[in-house]
Amino acid sequence: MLLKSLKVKDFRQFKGEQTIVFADDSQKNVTVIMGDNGTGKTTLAQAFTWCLYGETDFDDKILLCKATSKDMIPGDTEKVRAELSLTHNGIEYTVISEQLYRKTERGSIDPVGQRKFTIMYKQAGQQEYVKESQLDGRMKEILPPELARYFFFDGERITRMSKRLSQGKGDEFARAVRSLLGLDAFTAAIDHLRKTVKDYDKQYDVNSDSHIADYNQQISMLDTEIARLDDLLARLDLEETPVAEKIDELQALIEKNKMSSGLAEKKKKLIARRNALVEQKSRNIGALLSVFKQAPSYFAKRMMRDSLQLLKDANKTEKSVPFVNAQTIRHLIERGRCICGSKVCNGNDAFIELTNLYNYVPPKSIGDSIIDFCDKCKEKVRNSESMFSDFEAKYADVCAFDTDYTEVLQEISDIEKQLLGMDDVGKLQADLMRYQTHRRRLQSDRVSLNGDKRVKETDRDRAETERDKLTLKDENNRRVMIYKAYAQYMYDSLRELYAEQEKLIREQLESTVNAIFHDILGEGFSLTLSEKYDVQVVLNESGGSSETSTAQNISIIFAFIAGVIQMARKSQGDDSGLLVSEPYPLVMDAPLSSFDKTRIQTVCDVLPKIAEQVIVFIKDADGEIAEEYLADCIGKRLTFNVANGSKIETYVS
Amino acid sequence: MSNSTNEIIVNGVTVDTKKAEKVLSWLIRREAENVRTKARTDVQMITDIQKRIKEEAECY
Repeated sequence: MLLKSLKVKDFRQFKGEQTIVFADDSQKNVTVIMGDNGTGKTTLAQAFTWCLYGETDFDDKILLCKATSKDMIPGDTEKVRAELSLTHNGIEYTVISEQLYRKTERGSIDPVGQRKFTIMYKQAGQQEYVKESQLDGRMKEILPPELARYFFFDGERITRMSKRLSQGKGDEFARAVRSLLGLDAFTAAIDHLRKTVKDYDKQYDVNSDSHIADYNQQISMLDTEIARLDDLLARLDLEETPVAEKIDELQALIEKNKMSSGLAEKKKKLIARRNALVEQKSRNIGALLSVFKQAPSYFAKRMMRDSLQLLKDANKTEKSVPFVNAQTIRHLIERGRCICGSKVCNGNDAFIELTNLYNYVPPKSIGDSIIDFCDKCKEKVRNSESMFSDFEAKYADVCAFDTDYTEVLQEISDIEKQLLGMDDVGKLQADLMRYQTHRRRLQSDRVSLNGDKRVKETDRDRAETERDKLTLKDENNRRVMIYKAYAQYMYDSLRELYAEQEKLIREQLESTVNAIFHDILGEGFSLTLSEKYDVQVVLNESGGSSETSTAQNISIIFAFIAGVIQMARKSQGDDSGLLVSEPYPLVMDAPLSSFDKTRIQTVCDVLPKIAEQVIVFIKDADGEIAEEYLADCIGKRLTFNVANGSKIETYVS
Repeated sequence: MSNSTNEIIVNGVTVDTKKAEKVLSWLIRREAENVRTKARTDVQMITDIQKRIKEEAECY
């Protein structure tokens, strides 16, 4: 299937009728559609799926252009239309979807009737219509809806798909691959041949020999029993898959949570360190404040020095006699004789001298106070000499706390973040044991059921051999046996061929996908594909598995889709093989937004070589780079223009 | 066990593998078409296969 053109009329913000013609030249096979966010790139990508299948991802299911509906008066009707022209299997098709809308009296827009779906095709130059009863079948023949998601996709869908693949949920992808590469036909043929063989058993003429009927009944009962055992085995498989997944999950969790006990111990030590730091801070602040007790002396040093100088100049201190007080003077005057032996009487020289001295001794004298003051001054000055250096040292201690404390808090926070979401290893171990026991029981059941099945199959084969001997005696039955032998041979050889082909295709797909993956991400990683199409990213150097980044995830799905398309393209027209496939276009909404500039270049290089036709919707920022690297392959270049800054009117130019 | 390059014994009956392969190629093409169109049911497909086998097996 290759796309020729898309014509839309009043579809969302595309006002009136607008046509986009796609590049379909084998050399210039890329159509680039550029536009800013909100101009309608995703809308147009959705127009494809609406036109083909009547499906969109819009929350608002009214598709009529708002600018058009604004001009409608109540009772007016307008039609939304999407018309896709394409070629498939050498036939030109036109697929049309139409939906009528009416404006109500209240001003709302309501759909009128159902979507009208039409498929036209050209045959011998004549325009023919596909009958209504055959529309679904023909659409499925052109492109089944379940496969369309692999050709019409956006960035979000890629991310979802790649996550499922990486998580080992590749069933959906496996089905798509089988279908795209034509393997579905094999499985359907195998199923029909198996049923054909069974159907021949019912055609034997039981009247030719009564024992044939007995054997038929016996075979039928054994088949029923074998089918029941197969059913039980299938249920066991279904039951075992989630159990195995849970075991893997628990083992991974236990491995991951091994760190948790070590982290908890480290956190305990850090909390003790934090508490010690808090206590130390309190002590340091106390010490810093105690330094301030010396502050008055430190700051009064100058005043004290000046005071001492003034006292010295006044010669006040020399007039006093140390340790002599007023009581001593009074005693000397009263006894009438001085310490030196001079007579003391009222008015003589000794009396006058003692009386003068009286003014300078305590309590009346200030001499001792002055001496005392001088001593205190000296002591205070001496004590405050180290205040500045003490302050500096204590302040440094306080500052050092802040750094240490922040570091410890950060470490505790980091550990808490790591511990967040970590589970109790003991509980995980208990759960693991429980699931492992459950799996062992399921495996034991399987062995037992398989044994039963083998016994029944042997019994059935014996009964069939006996019946076949009897049927050979009758001409009609012999003929049925011959036909059945053909069907049986075809069934056996097709099963064998399918197994070979499927393995070959899987290996080819792995190799093709890896080549594309390496083109995008380089040689550092490789992809391995299991029998169930589950994907694992492998580090080439170590050979071990690797966690995938967003860019890797997108590259994986991108490589897979591109790989399948490339293989489908190669197998086209290959008459030697039994695969039947068609070329398909790649229609991508914002495929480059998750890649950096280097990868955009490789993606742009890879895309046009792989797909027969590429249609990309990109925003202006990526567009310039894409246009630079895709320049040689761009056959059509279109831009979305918004009318007068409106969000509801877009035109294609 | 085959007694000629194109013959094989299946369940005691001789099968011409060339004829069987011819039916098989036809069947795959038919199935490939039907996988997409779903035009024929299982019962119809089985009838078609039996008819085709009869034609080939009886063709000398």
